[in-house]
This record gives sequence, C-alpha cells and structure tokens, in this order.
Amino acid sequence: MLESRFARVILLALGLFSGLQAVSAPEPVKGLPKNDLRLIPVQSGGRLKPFDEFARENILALTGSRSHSGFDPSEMLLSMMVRPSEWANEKIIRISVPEVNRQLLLDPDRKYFSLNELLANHAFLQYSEGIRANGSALEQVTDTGVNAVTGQKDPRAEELKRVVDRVMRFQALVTGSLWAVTPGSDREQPWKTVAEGMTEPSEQSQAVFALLKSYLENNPEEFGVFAAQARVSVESKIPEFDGVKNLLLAEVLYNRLRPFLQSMIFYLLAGVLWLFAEKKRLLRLLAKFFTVTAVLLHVLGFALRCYVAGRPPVTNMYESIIWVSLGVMFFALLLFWKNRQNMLISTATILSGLALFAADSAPMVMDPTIRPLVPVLRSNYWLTIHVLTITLSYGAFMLAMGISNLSLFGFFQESRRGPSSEITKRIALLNQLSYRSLMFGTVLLAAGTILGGVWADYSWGRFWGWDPKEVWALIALLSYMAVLHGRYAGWVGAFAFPLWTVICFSTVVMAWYGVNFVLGVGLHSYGFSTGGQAFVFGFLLLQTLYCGFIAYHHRRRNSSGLHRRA
Amino acid sequence: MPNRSALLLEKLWNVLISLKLAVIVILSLAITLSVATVIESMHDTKTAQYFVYRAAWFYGLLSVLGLNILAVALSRLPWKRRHIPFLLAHAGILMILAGSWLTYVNGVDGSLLISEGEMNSAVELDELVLVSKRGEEVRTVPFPWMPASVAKSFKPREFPELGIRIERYVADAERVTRYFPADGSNPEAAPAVQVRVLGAPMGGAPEFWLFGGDPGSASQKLGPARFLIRKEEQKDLEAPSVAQGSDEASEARLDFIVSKSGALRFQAVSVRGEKKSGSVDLKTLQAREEPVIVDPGWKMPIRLQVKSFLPSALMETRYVERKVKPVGMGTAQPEPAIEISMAGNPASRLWLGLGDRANFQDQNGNPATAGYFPKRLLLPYGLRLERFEMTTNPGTNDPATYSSRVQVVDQFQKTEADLRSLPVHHITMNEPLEWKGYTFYQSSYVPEIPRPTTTILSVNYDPGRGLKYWGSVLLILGSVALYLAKTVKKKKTKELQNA
Repeated sequence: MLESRFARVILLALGLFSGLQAVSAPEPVKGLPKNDLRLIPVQSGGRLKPFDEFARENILALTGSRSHSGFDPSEMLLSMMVRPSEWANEKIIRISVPEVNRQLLLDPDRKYFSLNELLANHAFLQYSEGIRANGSALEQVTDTGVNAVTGQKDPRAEELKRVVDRVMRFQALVTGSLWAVTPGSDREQPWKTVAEGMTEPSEQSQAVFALLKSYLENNPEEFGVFAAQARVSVESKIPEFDGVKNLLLAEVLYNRLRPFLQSMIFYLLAGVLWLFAEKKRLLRLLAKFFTVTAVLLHVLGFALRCYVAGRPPVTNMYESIIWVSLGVMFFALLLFWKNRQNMLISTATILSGLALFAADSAPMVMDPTIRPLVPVLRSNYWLTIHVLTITLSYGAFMLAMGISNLSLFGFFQESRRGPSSEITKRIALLNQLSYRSLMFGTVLLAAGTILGGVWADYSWGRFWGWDPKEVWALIALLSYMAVLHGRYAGWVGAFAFPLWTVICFSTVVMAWYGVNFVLGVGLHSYGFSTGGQAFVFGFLLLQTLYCGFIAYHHRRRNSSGLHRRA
Repeated sequence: MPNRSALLLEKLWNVLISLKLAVIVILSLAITLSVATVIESMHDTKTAQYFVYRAAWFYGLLSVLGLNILAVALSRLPWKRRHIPFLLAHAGILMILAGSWLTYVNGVDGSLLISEGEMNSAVELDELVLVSKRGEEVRTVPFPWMPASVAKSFKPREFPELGIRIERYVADAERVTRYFPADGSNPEAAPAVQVRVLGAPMGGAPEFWLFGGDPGSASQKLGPARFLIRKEEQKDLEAPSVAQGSDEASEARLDFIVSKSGALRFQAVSVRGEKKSGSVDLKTLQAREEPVIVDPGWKMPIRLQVKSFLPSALMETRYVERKVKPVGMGTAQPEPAIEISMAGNPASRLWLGLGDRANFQDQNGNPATAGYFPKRLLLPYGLRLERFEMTTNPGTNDPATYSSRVQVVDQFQKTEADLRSLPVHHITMNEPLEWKGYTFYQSSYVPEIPRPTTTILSVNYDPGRGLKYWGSVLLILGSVALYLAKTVKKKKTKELQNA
C-alpha cells in the first residue's frame, strides 16, 4: 500500500503536459532557434540565472553530467515537460554507487536507469517512502552528497537519498514546479513557478505554455516567436533588469564556450609538443602557439566566471583547481622567462591540463555550479586576497612537485645508464627551478596564512584559532621550511631535495583537499564536500610508489659503489 | 680552565643555536599538529584542545622554537647588513609567538547574546566554572572540561569552599528523564502522561512525556500544535492567542485533564476554535491489548496514542554519556554534566547539566544554590540590541547577510528618553564595533520563526594584536628579502664565474 503511494504521486504528475502517448525515444527538433530560450531569466538556487544554466544544473542533478543524450540542455528540459511519459522510459537517472544497485537488486554494471524502472522497483519505493516520511525534501540532500540535516556520510544511504531526490526532481521538472518564471515585486521575493501558473496564470506562464505548445507541435518558427516573447515578458518584470542583463549573456557564453575544457585540450597538446620541440623550430612554434592559446582561454574563462559570479572564483574545489592551475602556468612562465627550458614548460602545461581535466571530469564531486556565498564570505576584501594568495602558493608547490618528479626520473636514468654529465647538469638545473618555485610557494603560503589570520581577526575576532584548515596550511609551511632549512644546512642534497619536495606536496593535498573532503571539521565548513577519495589517494599512492621505486634504484647504485660520483 | 657548568652551558648553547634543533622542532610541530587535526576529526574541537592546542607541553614545544630562533639570532652578533633579511623574518616569528602568548594569558574571547529591546553585559567565556551561593556569599571555582577518556579515571573531588563534592562527571552528556509512580501526598507529585504522535507534520512518530509538576515539561509544542497536561482544578493559563487581522489562532491545543479521582479526559481546540473533548479509556490502557488513540478532530491528520498514564508521578533526571554523537559537520561540541553531593551528606546527590542550577541545604540546614556554568565576564557597560536585521538570497530562506543595530548603555542611562538619544551602532559581518578595548563582532543569531530577534556577538579583547600584526609584517618583508638576497647572490657568483 505504502509503496504505491509514492509511485502514484509521481506517475500522476507525469500526465500533465503530455498530449501524445507515443513510446518512441524523444529526439531534438531540427532547426530550433534556441538563443532566446537559453536567455530566459530564472530564479533558482538563490540567484538569477539564464534558463540555459538552470537546465544544466538540473540535468547535472539528474544524470551526473551537465548535458545529456545529445540534447541541448535547455531543449532537453522542454522536451521532458512536453513528453514526460517518453522521458520516463529514457535511462537518464544516475545511480553512481554500485552497492545501491545491488541493494535495489538492479544490474550493478549499469549507471543509468529510467524513471519507470525505478518506480517499478519495490525495494526502491520502500526506501523512498521511508526517506520521505523522515522529512527529506529536495533541498536537504545537497548535490554533492552530504545530507545537510544529518551530515551523515554513509555513501550508500546518501546515494539512495540522492536517487530519491532525482526521482522527485524529475517529477518537479516535468510539472514545471522548479521553473520560477513570474518575478515578484522586489529582489528577494520568491518567483511564481510555471506549475503555479496553471492555477494563477500570469503573462509569463502563458508565454511559457505557448512556447511548450509550439515545441510539442514541432514548429520552429512559432517556437522562436514565443521564446522571444517569454524572454521579454520575464525580463520586463524584473526590477532593475538592465543592471544584470549582461551577466545572463555572459553566463550563457561561459556555458556554451566551455573555456576550461578547450584550454585543457590545448594545454595537453602543448605539453606533448614541448617534449619533442627541442631542436625543431616548427614544433616549437606550434607548442608556443598552443600554450598561449590555452593560457588565454584559461584567463578568459576565469574572467567570465568572475564577472558572472561577481566575485573571484575561489570558494570551492572546482574553482580553486582552476585558479591553482592558472598559478602553475604563471610561475612556469615566470621561470621560463629566465630559463628557457622546454622541460619546465612541458611539465607545467601537462600539470595544468591534467588539473583542468580532473576538475571537468567529476562534476558530481566538484560542483561547477556558481552558487551564492554564505554570509561570512560575502563582500570581503581580505577573504579574496587571503584565499587567492594561499591557493596561488599551491600552484607554485604543484609546479615544484612536477619538476622534482622529472628530476627524480633523472636519477633513475642515472642508475640505469651510469653517471653522465648531461644528466647531472639537467638534474642540477631542475633542482634549481624547483627550489625557485618552492621559494615562491613558501613566501606566498606564509603571507596567505597570515592574511588568513588578518581576515579571521577581522571577521571572527581572533587571529589564530587552531582551525584544521589553518593548521594544515601551517603544517605544509612547516614541512617546506624543514626542507629549506635542511637544504641550507647541507643535509638535503641533490637527491633528497626533489624527493622531499614531492613528499611535502602531500601536505598541500591535505590542506587543500583533505581538510574539506576527509577530515570534514572546523570553521571552513562552507567548503566541505565528499567524493574523489579514490582519485586523490590513488595519486598519492602512485606518487609514493614512484618515490620508493626511484629511491630503491638510487640507493642500490650508490651502495654498489661502482658508479659513485666524485 | 672553564669549569664544568660553563662547559655544560656552552653545550646547551650550541644545541640551542643548532639548525638541527630547528629542523627537529619544525618537524615535531608538523607531526603534532597533523595528529591534532585527526583527533579533532575523530572526536571534537574540545578534545583536540585538551590534548594538544591548550596542553602545557605544546606551549613548551612552541617555547623551544622561540628560544631556538632567539639564540640563533643572538649567535650572529655582531649583526651585519647581510643578516637583515634573516633577522627580519625570524624576529617576525618571535613577535608572532610573543603576541600569541599575550593573547593566551590576558586575552578575552567570548560571546554575548542579546534579544531585541534588551540589554546585556555578561560575556560568556569558553571556560567552565562551579558556582555556589550560600546566604549572600557567592563563590566561583574553575572546573575545566575534560574528554571522556580522561573522565574514565575521574575520582570524586571535594570543593570545601563551595560546600559541595563532585561525585561523577560525564564529558558529553545526554539528559535522561524517568517518571515513576509516587504517593499522592508528596507535594512534588503530579500527573504524567506518555504520548506518541501519529501523522506528525514533521514526519516520524515523536514520543514524549507530559508532566504537570514542572512548567517546562507540562506542555510540548510540535509544529502548529501544543499538547498540555493539567489538573482539573488548575486554571488554563496558556489560552492560545489569536493573531491580529486573522481569525485563526496561532496554534491548535490539546489538553489532557486529570480529575481529582484520577480519571483522564482530553479537550482539543483547533486553530479555528472548534472544540472536541472525550475521555481516555484507562481500562484498555492498563490491559495493554490494543492501542488507546485520541483523535483531536483537527484538519491535519494527527492522532495521539496514549502509551501510559500516572495520576501521581515524580520525575527523576539523570545524565548519561551520549551514545549516538550528533553528526553535525564537526560543529557539535560536547556538553558536560556533573553529579554533586553536599558536603557531609553523600546521600544528597543531584545532577547538574551545563547551565543548570539547583537548590540544596548546606550542613547547617541553610538554603544554598549550586550551579555549573560557562564563566562570565561583566563588561563595564551594556549593549542593547535595537534591531537584528537579516537579508536572504533571492527566493530562498538562506541568509545572505545579517547585522545588529546596537546601543552602548552606561549604567546610569536608563530612561526611555535617554535610550532614544543614544547613538546606534551598526555591527555587520565585516564591520565590528570597538568600544573601550573590546571589539564586538557579528558572529551568529538564534534561529526563530518568522524572523530571528536574538543576536550572538563575539566579544574580543586581544592585547597581543599589535605584536602579531607587526610580527607578520616583518616576517613577510624578511622572507621576501631572503628570496631577493639569494637571487642577487646567485647573480654575483655567476658574474664572477663568467669573469
């Protein structure tokens, strides 16, 4: 009895807009003018955004990816509204924890399920009844996976809740009850949704209904007219719309251009080219061109995001990765200016490319959505400087880590081929570059940590409170300080220096990622999230194995005494 | 010939100025701190502070670092120009350490709660105290928090100056209340009923006791409904109020009424004023065969299951170690509780949770009070909250900004006219108020519906601030200079080589 209630509620909701009951898979309409549709302003998630962004966020929440099934995200949302029963058969609802599949007796190898499959699943319905009875609503489980009410971190329970959320979101989307379309009289007032427009029609909801009808009838010309009409009628009712008009345009541009994705491709290409560009002028020119293009796209994306969000993008993992990888390039170019080393720029471009790849490939873990800031972070000059400085230092440490890995590889070559002046020279040069990078990093990290103190003093009334994020920044600083002092004293030599530089980077990983994703305590809770553990621990494990492997070969060669250097 | 102690001193000096010591201290600090963050993650902030951040040995470690830096700097005497970057950076660290020490010893960091229209000057600090009041004599003794692992070996402790003894201590306590039948002649005995709410608006099936003998336990509010127990002869004191401009009451009411003969009946009033009453079948309740359900007849589908009824009951409160820790993203802090007994009377035990006070009789039979509170600091002036303001993100209830408009009130200004003439200061997230050495920051608020009206300010006095700031400036200047000096040096050697 209980089980069917949830299913009934959702199935009932599906019939609302559907005129046709065909069972064929929904397909995009050809020649559809989508510009005006994308730009219809929507109030959602505590800010004003274009329909394009609204659609992408919801499709991300449903499917785990910002666009799906070859549809333009905006069009996909409309299609779901006019053909809900067909979409209910489409496999678009994501389950990303295989144990949940097993718990629901579903195929553990599949990631996507259709709404109808889930609603026919008794175990799922039982769970969803339970979750709903305990008062879980859409907003309680955050998109990144931690239940905001209980804070529980059982991945299975969390994923189940998210799947229930996805099913409920599906329903809310197709009935138009998430699409806020009729603006209120002041900025803070909640807008009326399209669903509410069924009972209290407004000019805006009427325009949307006409738009949906023309879409259902496959009429691109009428669609264009109604989309423009809907856009204008929403825009004209927003108080002081002229001030935000360009923000919406910029956000659609940012979404469509995907500057970081393109930048990543250019970085990786450039990184490979630099490796082979030693003596080939043409390759070198091409590598230069790719590098410059990548950096320009990177900066453009960064600037667009700043402009849309109205603040520097440094408040979550996704945004900090973008900034840190830009930092890597900044330091690399700075060093390259004096030392024209292809290895240096190759390392940097590959690191930046990989970092952007990581940021782009896991939108479920690192939410790329632009969200309003929590009060403590608002309009704060010190915050911006403090976070930008600290994360910039991460960039320098990351570069040092990359270069040191190359340097360690030199020792491996040496242990194989025997000492050669060429390798020794290269190692010395790499160590020098890595040392420079470390110096940049430590100065910035010290400054950033202190600026964090200044900000905390300014905002919370204490300079230092042993908060885990503060503490890990300090631990990273202390670790690098130990290395630098050891180098000064001569205990840390040509081999130990790159080795320790690489090892110390794990403290940066901890300060950057671990505090928010692993420890999950402290005052910096506005940045907390889950996920990505396998990836990060995998990286650390690989790095450790690499260091161990090279240290083993290096020691064996040295202890054999055959090739001992003078 | 140098004597032995001089030799020993020189050895010690050589250790103090060695780079080895510096590296060892730096590394042990790094390891200690990483362990501390793990402790904090597994337990809570208080535990990490107890074992590391506020432990004496940790300050010892920091002092060794300070001594090391000082000794190294002195060992370079007489200082030359090339020493300047090194000296700047290391003097900066010393100043930051010294400033932190000053803050630790003399600083104040507390919180101040003020409701709109009210004044407060008592700052709550992060230290716990035991207070006793005997006659006019008030005594306060610090009794700091300790984690459960330490509390395991807690031995009862006598506080002769307070006239009490701590028998038991619970680091993170959960209140357990028990109701048991009592003789009706006992003046403290009162009726108690245990109910379970079915179809509650918030979901779940909450269960609770209503106990007539204690104002706090006699009524229970659940969403838009209030449940209450009273004796028949007691007057209904809490009639639901009707908001202006609305024909609906603010809440629906359900009263359990106990007659002198011990019969139980209920009387329900909906928000629209519709009444319904009936009796509760005590025979069925005693038989425990089928559930006894009360239907208040409201529009919302709420039913009450009466689980047990004691016409004359007593309440006993205890504290036990919390079993299920609330997982609140690391913000939940432990709440301790203690069980005390009066001096010379070990049988007279009672529990005090944090913030509780209780009356007892001292050895001479005179009335006395004992309490267990956060330590308070009285400011020489009061802060009056004129208004608490909050804005939200568009279309949501998430706070975007919040701020307090406050007045500083001296003891003498008390009349309404005086208050009106006082200037109003606006404390926002990023603009604290500074007044006579103390700084007031907007820190939080007490969530209320429809809008919060109680602000939480954090109050701070930091004598080490200047030292810390100047130390920071020196440290940054010094490290930049160190970096530049290295680059210049490198250039010179290069030029020499080329020559």
